[in-house]
Amino acid sequence: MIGLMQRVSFRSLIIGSYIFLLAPLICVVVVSFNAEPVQQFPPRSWSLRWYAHALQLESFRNGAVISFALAVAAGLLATPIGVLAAIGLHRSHWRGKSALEAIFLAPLIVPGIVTGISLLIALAALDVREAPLRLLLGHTVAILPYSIRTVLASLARLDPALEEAAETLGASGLRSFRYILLPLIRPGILAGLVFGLILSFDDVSVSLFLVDARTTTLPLAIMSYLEYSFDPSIAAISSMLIAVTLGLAVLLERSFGLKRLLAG
Amino acid sequence: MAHVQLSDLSKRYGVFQAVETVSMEVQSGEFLTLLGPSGCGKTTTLRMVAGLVPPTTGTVRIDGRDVTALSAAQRGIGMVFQSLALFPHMTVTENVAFGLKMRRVAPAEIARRVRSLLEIVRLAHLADRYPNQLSGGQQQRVALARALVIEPSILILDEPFGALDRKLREAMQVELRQITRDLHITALFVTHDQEEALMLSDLVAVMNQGRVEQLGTPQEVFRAPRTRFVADFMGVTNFLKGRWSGGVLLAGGGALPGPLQQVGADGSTVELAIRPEEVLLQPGAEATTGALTAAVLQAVYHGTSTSYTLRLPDGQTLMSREPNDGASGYAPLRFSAGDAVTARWRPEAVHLLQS
Repeated sequence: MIGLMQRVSFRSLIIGSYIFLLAPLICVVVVSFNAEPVQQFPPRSWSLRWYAHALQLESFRNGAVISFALAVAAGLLATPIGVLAAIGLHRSHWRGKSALEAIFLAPLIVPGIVTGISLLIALAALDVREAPLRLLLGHTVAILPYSIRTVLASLARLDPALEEAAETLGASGLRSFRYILLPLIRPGILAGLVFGLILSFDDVSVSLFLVDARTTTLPLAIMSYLEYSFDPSIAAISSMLIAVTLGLAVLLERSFGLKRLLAG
Repeated sequence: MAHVQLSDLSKRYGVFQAVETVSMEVQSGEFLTLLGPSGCGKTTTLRMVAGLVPPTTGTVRIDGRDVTALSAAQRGIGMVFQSLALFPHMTVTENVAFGLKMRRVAPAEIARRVRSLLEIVRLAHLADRYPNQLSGGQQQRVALARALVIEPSILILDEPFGALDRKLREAMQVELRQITRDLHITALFVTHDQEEALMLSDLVAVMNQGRVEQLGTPQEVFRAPRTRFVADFMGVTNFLKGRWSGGVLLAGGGALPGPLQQVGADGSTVELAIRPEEVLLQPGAEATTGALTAAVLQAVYHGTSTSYTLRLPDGQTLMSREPNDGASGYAPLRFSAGDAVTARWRPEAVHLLQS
């Protein structure tokens, strides 16, 4: 009897938590199909018109292109840096190692808004005024810790004798890296890249300080649209973002298992 | 296949002297084992030979050529690691082929050599498996095949059998010995297991605190240990202090059976070791030359043998161990505490230790 009650209450706790986490998302998706020009739950009539509207909006389209290009560019820039930094950190034994590691991972802990303001000041001091370049540098810094973190986790799982074995078999330096190290840490590298893509695409707080009138990202475009209108096109674009993110997460899970990657 | 010579090899990490001046030679086709407790410098010595650790001083020569400055990749040495270090993302075939691929051997030749090696280690039927799909013994054989396929000048093995259970370990030892003999390979082996060293090796180097205490054949280090450390490591439990007097060694209140070659002046002391199983007991205290009288302190029955702890007239203790074979296995114990006995042994059973 007690066992049954425990099980029931445990289940309801879990179900409750999931509802709490997912209900807003489900709401948004449902609202996005509303035919009326108001955000209303549940909708009285259904339509895909707000999807069409969202896809036609100049600011959303530009924002999506910029956000996408920015995420890919920042991801491709941060990943090699992250891999090399992680390998360097993993191998070094000098005393400053942990301090360096903390600095590399700092953007994880520092609030995004602080990173954004710091970047604004630093880039202004360096006279970097072009918004695309500022965004690229800012996003690269913001997602670098994820790349380093996931690669470090993969490296920590490796037997150090593997590289020595490769060396005794005639593979030194680059070839050992290419045939042994790289294939073994590839899951970590890809996981870091996918996290980076999602975070960059999703970012508001860092971008906020780095955009200009002509170059803005999708999340910021959505925010500024929201200031003037509150129609379901916001819900429509949000639903599309949810779909893309979900797709990436499923891909990640299928390829490597999210649990294993996050456990590192 | 190759002759290896280590001259004055040493390694220092900061203030810690891991290895101090090791010099030794391994003839072509010989199997040499570095034996010692953990931290004695045996693995560091091995890694210096492999080229994974640069020596602080000294040289490594292979077939007369100084290879000290060469990297591990350039030395052409096959190594089996303690953790085996099989490449987890490669199949058995790919693991074994790796060294040949790095040497840019033609693919057809690689396939042929990998197949022949896999047949030698009896793994041909598992060629497409991944390491995590293999048992411990099979993984061991992959590691061995991977190291051998490059036709190394020397095969180096760093405690490869540590993780195996006893039965599998013995099977692998026999197999390793057979393969190195068949292929006439010069092998350097590291272990802390005395029995493993004795059964595998042509030569055993017993190491302690970064030094080679004794280098010799298994029979030499087992039967004639030169230092207390080696004797202890080889399972000798009897140590006596003696004193020279006119060519006779006095210990335990009597003269030891001779003839013994006196080292040092009259009156100088010497430590000696005797295996317990060499000490033969007779009932009754009968002080003659070459025998010591003693009193039994304790008798312990071990099943296949019985051990007696004896007190000698000068207060030193001595162990005797008798096999319980044949009829004696069924008889009651020959002595009990308090009995007076006479202990004697063959002159060659006494090992004079260097201090």
